[in-house]
Amino acid sequence: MNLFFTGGMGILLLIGLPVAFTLSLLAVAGMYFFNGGTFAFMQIPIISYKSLDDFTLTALPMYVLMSQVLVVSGVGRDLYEMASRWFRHFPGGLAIATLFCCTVFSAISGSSVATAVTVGSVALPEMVRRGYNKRHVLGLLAAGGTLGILIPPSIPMIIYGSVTGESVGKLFIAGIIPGAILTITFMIFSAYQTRHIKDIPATWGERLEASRKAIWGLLLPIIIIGGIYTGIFTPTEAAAVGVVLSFAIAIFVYKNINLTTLKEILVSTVKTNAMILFIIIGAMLLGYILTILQIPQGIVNFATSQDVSPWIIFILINIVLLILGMFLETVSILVITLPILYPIIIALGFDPIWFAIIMVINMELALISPPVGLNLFVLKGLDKENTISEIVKGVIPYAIIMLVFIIVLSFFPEIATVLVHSDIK
Amino acid sequence: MKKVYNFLDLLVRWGAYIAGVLILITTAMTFYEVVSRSFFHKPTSWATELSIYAIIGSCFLGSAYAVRTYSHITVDILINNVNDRFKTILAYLTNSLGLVFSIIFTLYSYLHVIKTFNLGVTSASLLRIPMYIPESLLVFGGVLLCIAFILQIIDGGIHRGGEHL
Amino acid sequence: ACNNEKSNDKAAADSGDGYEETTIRLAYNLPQDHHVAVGIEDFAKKVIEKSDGKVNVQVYPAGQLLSDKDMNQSILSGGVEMGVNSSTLWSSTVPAMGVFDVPYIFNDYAAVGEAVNGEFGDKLRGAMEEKGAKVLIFADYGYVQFANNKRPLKTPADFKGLKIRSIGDLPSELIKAYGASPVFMGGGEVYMALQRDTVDGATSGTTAMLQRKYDEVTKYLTVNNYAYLEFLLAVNKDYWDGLPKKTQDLLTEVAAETETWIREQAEKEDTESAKGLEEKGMEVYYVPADELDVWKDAAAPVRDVFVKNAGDLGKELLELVDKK
Ligand code: NA
Ligand code: NA
Repeated sequence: MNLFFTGGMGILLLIGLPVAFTLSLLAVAGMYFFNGGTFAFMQIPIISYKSLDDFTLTALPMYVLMSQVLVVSGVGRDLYEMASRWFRHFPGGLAIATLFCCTVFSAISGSSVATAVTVGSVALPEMVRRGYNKRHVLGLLAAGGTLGILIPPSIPMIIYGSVTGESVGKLFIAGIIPGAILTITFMIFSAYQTRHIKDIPATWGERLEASRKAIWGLLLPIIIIGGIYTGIFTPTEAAAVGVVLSFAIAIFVYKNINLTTLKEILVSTVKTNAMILFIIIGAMLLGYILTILQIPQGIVNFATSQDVSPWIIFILINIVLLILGMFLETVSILVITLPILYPIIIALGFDPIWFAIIMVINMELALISPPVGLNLFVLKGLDKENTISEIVKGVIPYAIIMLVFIIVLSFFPEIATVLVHSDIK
Repeated sequence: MKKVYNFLDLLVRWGAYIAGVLILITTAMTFYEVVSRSFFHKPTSWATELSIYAIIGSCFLGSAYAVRTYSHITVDILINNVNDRFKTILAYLTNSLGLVFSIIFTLYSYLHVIKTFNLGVTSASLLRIPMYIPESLLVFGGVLLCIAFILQIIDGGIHRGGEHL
Repeated sequence: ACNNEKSNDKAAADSGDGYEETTIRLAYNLPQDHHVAVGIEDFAKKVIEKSDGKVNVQVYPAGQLLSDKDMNQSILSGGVEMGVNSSTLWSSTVPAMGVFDVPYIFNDYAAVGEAVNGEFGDKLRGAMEEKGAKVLIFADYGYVQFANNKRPLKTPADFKGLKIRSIGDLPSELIKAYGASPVFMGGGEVYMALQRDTVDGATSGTTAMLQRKYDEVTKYLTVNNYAYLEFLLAVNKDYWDGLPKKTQDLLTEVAAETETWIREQAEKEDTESAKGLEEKGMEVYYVPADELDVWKDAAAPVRDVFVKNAGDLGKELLELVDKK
């Protein structure tokens, strides 16, 4: 049966059936052959509807829309130009500038896909234009986007909290230092990888001029972060505020949005939105049938029932998460595995807050591991020239960094827990 | 025949326009909720719930157009490395498979909506919206998806991979 | 660990104990350490044991398979044979189930047990069966309370102007009746919303408040036992009717034991979790029994909304509990 699903997925993807329909069709076939024939088909609409029946998900299309407005209006370009004038004289300066933008945006949104879309749509053309190797840029953006779920706010942390009962606030706080370390490591690596590109330093005059031009764009993250942390709006609602503000800036400051550009913006938002949401539906349908058939549970139970030391089990858990991460979407992985993993982690004596961070980094890896990796797809969606294999090649070094970081976190759990266990109230 | 084709193509495109408007409406509703709650102490009872319905609509009504514009992500390793004849075969094959899923999806969504209607299920909220209304977005989207795959088959031609935007 | 047999397979009984083989898929969406979840897991274990493994209850815990939103439809369409969901969510399909959300109809835990095991329970069971689900267990979650950050809520008038996160229609009507505004947001956002004062308060059982660590982000708890949160273990009616009498009897018998255990546990957990929240620094106000009439009178509009939704059956149910 495992062969049916993995083999089936391989074949359907290879012959060029879009990912969303590969996942969905495979789920339908699984229902038909292993779950009572057409009787199980009544679950298709129920699961499809439930996949999107979640208010936090409404942020996704709005972030896609916001990124389109930022690109079309030129706000994004000005923001990026400012970052580049401040950083470009460093070796690989634009890579640093891009990761800086990823960090800022990660602190606004709880979603990696949203971060990759927004920063990618501005940074990709710009970096390629300045002579950066496209593969390096794609890898950088795919990996940099994943910071969106490690740096708070974070949707996977919210899910972890709601399934396990751990405090979401503590999880958010636990993400801060690991998020900062991973960001800086990414910056160092990407700067090293692209060290041969070094622009002449911008003068202070140029920097200030670009900063002045970018002031409206800079206001955006400040208002959004400020709004979230003062409680005026929730992280989900922040997306709507972001869209309204970027429209306002485009209309009143840049004055370059009219009905024609609005229509273009909407149509391309709809395409990206439908693409991402339908992959989520496909992954949920597949997750449903795999869960009914007890396949992920079986794998996790096998890994955790071995009579070995807790650390070996911990390693097995990570391997299982890595494998599930290749085929399933992150929300599905979390809700399927956590009810099994969480009690085990507690029983083994591990810190559940620390494990949440390990879990989130695994989810970051899931976002960039083929064949099903939402961040890969998003970047592919940015430019028709991009190929998945090119993006994957670019992202491999970052995946290795994340794996190493999991090891480092295992030896020094304090990285995640020090802020939490100090007095935070 | 040509007229029917054009009409169906237009239908798919209108699905996308409506999807776009739904995303705009979601933004407006959520923004209104923020302002009304935080500055006027009057949270709405409808913004959260209607936003969810609008986003569900935006996905299902927009999916067909994404099929027509090759916006659904596709793995293109094989497609990039075979000749045009083979690409054409793959195009027919994958579009037919897409159609198979879409037909099953549409049929069972329809049965589901009928069942919800007969049971009289409402949303568990102040609005008590009859759930068959948002659920019928699945049926409309499914019909559009069937149309999109049929049009793709009629178009024929080589598989164009997952080109986008 | 993955089994190939179809769920509805009913091979002829071939062993001495005489149970036909069947697999029951049971999904629930509560955290595994919640007392309702513990009871349900125990129910599954006992059924398997007593049938010598012939009646195999396959549990999908903590939202692994289904969330509370798709649970009802999945049970009604046979996607799973059994599932646990709140009466509040069932009221979207069976309006009479909203009766548990009508404020102050049950004064104590024993009253709930008596009601659901009598005519009151029969009427609800009948209404559920009409839609295609048979109730096996009325699983008590416990009473629900209000927590907030603004002030101790000592009378309904103290609610004026508060923004309170709410779920379901009747609790929201109550919040409105008390002069506060219900706010709707995703479950995962509540903790942060309380922390950042996006909302002033929230309503939930104290067991859930303790588990979700409300004590970290809210100051005041008001224990007024305004409504009773009931969860239902329901089984697909067609599936149930196809089961042999012997299996039905076994399930009914174990269900009754479980229901009693959960009810006792609910009382214990409610008391302990309220204390736990107090120990962790929340200021707890217990509404004295002789002041409850004020709270009840102010909640009158909610009753009307319930009767409007649930019609004659709703009226009958209220008359039954009022008699007590
Ligand atoms: Na974030
Ligand atoms: Na992946």
